[in-house]
Parts: sequence; C-alpha cells; structure tokens
Amino acid sequence: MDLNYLAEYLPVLMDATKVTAILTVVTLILSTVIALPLSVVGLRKPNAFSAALDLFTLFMRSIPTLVVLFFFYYGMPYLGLVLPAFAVAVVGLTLSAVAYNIEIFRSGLRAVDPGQIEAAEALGIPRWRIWVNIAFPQAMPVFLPTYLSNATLILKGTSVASIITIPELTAVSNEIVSLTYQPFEILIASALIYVVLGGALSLIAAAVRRHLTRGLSAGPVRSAPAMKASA
Amino acid sequence: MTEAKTASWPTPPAPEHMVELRGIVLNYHKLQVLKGVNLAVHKGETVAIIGPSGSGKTTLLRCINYLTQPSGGEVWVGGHLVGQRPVGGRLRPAPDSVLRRHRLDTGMVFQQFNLFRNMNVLDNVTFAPLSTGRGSPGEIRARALQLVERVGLGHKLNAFPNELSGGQQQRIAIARALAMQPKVMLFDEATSALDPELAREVLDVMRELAREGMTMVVVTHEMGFAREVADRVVFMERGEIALQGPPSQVFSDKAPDRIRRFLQH
Ligand SMILES: Nc1ncnc2c1ncn2[C@@H]1O[C@H](COP(=O)(O)OP(=O)(O)OP(=O)(O)O)[C@@H](O)[C@H]1O
Ligand SMILES: [Mg+2]
Repeated sequence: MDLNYLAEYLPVLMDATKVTAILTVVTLILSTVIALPLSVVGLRKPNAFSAALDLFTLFMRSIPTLVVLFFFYYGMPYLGLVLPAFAVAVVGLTLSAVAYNIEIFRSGLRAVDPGQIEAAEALGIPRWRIWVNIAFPQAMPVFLPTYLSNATLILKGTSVASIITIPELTAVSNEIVSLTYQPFEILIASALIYVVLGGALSLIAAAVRRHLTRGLSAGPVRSAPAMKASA
Repeated sequence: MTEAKTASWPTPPAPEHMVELRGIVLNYHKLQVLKGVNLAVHKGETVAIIGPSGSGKTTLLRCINYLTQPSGGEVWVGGHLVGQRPVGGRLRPAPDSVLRRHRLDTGMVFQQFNLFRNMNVLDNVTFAPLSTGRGSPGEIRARALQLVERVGLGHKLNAFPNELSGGQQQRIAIARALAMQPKVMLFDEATSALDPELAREVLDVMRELAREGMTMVVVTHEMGFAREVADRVVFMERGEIALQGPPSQVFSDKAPDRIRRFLQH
C-alpha cells in the first residue's frame, strides 16, 4: 500500500466523491418528490392513467439504466435535443428510480387499513389530507426499509453515469488507474468512500424514521378487538 | 332561466324528514342487493335496522353517506340531495368536492372502530373538523375536549388507539363523528366486535345520544337496544324492507312468522 501515491490522488477522488454525492442526492430527491404523488394514482380504483403508469414502471424496471442513459445521451440529439451530460445522467437515473419508488410507496400504502381511509372519507376529509396525514404516516414504517435499500442502490447506480463522461467516483478512479497502472490503493479508497456515503444515507434515513413515526407502533396495527378486550 | 325548474325538481322531502331514501337500488354485477328501498327518518328519531345476514343492512346504511353509490334512487339528508345533482334535467353523480360537503351532515360509526392509528385521541377527534374548517382551532379543541369527556375518556386524551380497549376506541370513534356536528348518526354493528361488558359502555353512549334528540340510524344485532331505544324498528330481508313499526309491534307475538323465527335465534 503506497500512501504517498494515494495522497497524491486524494484531492481528485474527493472532487469525484462530490459529484457522486450530488448526483445521488439530486436523483433521490427528484425521484421521491415525483414518485410520492404518482404512487397514489389509481391505488383505490385503477384508471387509465394508473394503467399507463404501470406500463412505465414495468419498462423502466426492465431496461438497464445504462441503456436508458445511452438512449438519452446518444438518442436525444437525433431528436434535436442536446442536453449536458450531467442533466442526461440526472434524467436517466431519476426515471428508473421513480419507477422503483412508485412500487415501494405503493406496497406501503396497500398495507394501510382501508377501514381508516373509509372513515376519513365518511368524515368529509379532503383526499390529499387523507394521503398526507393518515395513509403515508402509516405506510412509512412499512416502506422505509425497502426505500432505504433502494437509496443505496441509487448511490451505487450513479457509477453507471461514468459511461457518459460524468466525472464521478467510478469514472475518475478508472481514469487514475489507467494512467498509473496501480489499481489497488485507488480501488480500496473508492470502495471505502462508497461505504461511507452509504452509511451516511442509512443514518439520515434512521433519523427521518424516528422523527416521522413517533407514536406509531412497528406497523399499521389492525385492531384485534377480541384480544384487546381480554388483555 | 331554469331556476323555477331546479327549485322544484327533484322535489325535496318534507322538512321533518331528516333522512329520506327514495327507491334505492343497488346491483353488484347481477346480484340485486337493494331492491328499491324507501325509508324516511324523522328529526330526532332513532331507527333500528335488523334482519338476517346478507339482507342488505350495511349496504343500505352506506348508501346514506354514499360510501356505497347506489345504482338508482335518491338519498336526501337534511333537505339536501346526497351524491347527485341535477344537470340538464337529469341527476348526475356529484363531483368529489360536492360529495364531501354532503357528507358533513352524516356521522358514521363502524364495526371495526377505524380510528386513525397514527394519531392520539385528541387528534383523532379534532382532525376532521380542523381539516374541513368547521370552526376556529380554539372552538374545535374545546368541543373535542367536551365530547371526549362526555364519552368518559377525558383522562385518555394523549393515548393512541392501540393503547385503548375496543370499547374505549368505539366511544372515541363516536366522539370523532360528533365533532363534525352531524345532523344524523349512522351506526353499523357498532358493538359486534366487543365483549358484552365493553358493548354496554358503547350502548350507554348511544342511548344517551338518542335521548338528547340526535337522529340515528342503527344497524344492530342487539335486540335489547332496538326494543328499548329505537322509536321504530325496520326489518330487512333480501334487499327489501319486509316490515317496520314501533318495537312493541315488531317484537310482539303477533308479528309475522318469519320475523319471529329470525328473532328466536
Ligand atoms: N362489495 C360487494 N361486492 C359484491 N357483493 C357484495 C358487496 N358488498 C355486499 N355484497 C353482497 O350484498 C349483500 C348484502 O350485504 P350486506 O353487507 O349489506 O348485508 P348485511 O345485512 O349487512 O349482513 P350482515 O348482517 O352479515 O352484516 C350480500 O349478499 C353481500 O354478499
Ligand atoms: Mg352488515
């Protein structure tokens, strides 16, 4: 292990880490913000829009992100749309992350007791309030573990952007290695950086979870009146 | 202008009818669950709906606040047509925002309580009035405290549903519905999920409510409650009202055979 060699390239690696972190955070935020309202569409009663959405998620989850990125990077200019590489990366990564997040949120929402939704409707509570204040808070503990592991997949997935010249961690590591022919130190360092970023994601998610699920038990517990009565 | 027409059609019910169901039909695929039910409930009246399993009691009750949309007929509550509005000489389904307003006149209590499990008792009771703007936050809170006190759970304001017994949950569910100041309360087997002792504390609250003049439609298997509290008992069979009358009549020896057979078990 040659620490001097590593120290020489560390600043470059750190710059690349910044790119990876920004790409991850932007993709994560965009895909979450877009997927949240979409996950609600047609959940109670399927409609044409939700059918189209199902088709979209099926497509996006089947097609490799790499292919999606290539499509936008090389394909869009044919259609007269030239986007900077970073924008292409964000669009491509977000599209596939949206597809996964929609499914993840839906699985949580489906676990929420429909009786409570009905009670809320009978009270005349506006629909968006039912989602925001009743359904999502109870779906959260259900979908959060899957959401978190998907977030780490997004982090790792940003390495795909190396293929369209984005100077993120994987791309830069490869470049250094191809210059120096000394792969060991650089690859260890970049692996460790990914671990640290992934750990940071987990910590943030755990904090969010603690904050949002106060007072809620492990899941949306359904009432078991007979058991309650004898307890 | 068509004002004259819209004012007289569809014809509103007599003012003393708090609820009026006109020819309510409900089809699930080929199965006709409700076969043109007519029912009027007077202001301050308590009507008990009884009948065999599958006769359509729950379905009829759910039509009153349009949780289930009837295939045909009219539902009137508090002088307003529920879930529909006249458009060009025909009745059309009302949009969601309008239906929501119609629902403010009815409160519903479910067999499974259906309290919001992510909210404590106080939030359960205040959430609907706050999110629909039924008064200032101060008023809403004061009213909620009063209601929770009234159902005997003033000491449980900060408890979550999973920390309450079934009977306590159901009493909070009643308080939650009352917090919207409805004109009619609908109960669907409100005590069926409860042990007799817990059922009694819920029935006491309902009895009190009836005595105070609330208009109530109560689907129940509690014949004792129907006999003592109801002003009128409606017996349903196969999607129709087979018989209705004061408890003294429905529960008498002279009632038709099939009713006496139903009551025997
Ligand atoms: N969502 C539905 N889809 C299809 N059929 C339904 C549905 N809901 C109710 N039914 C049918 O409608 C009929 C009336 O049901 P309903 O629940 O109103 O009966 P009920 O009188 O409340 O019975 P119980 O005393 O068992 O509660 C039944 O035959 C039932 O199978
Ligand atoms: Mg029923």
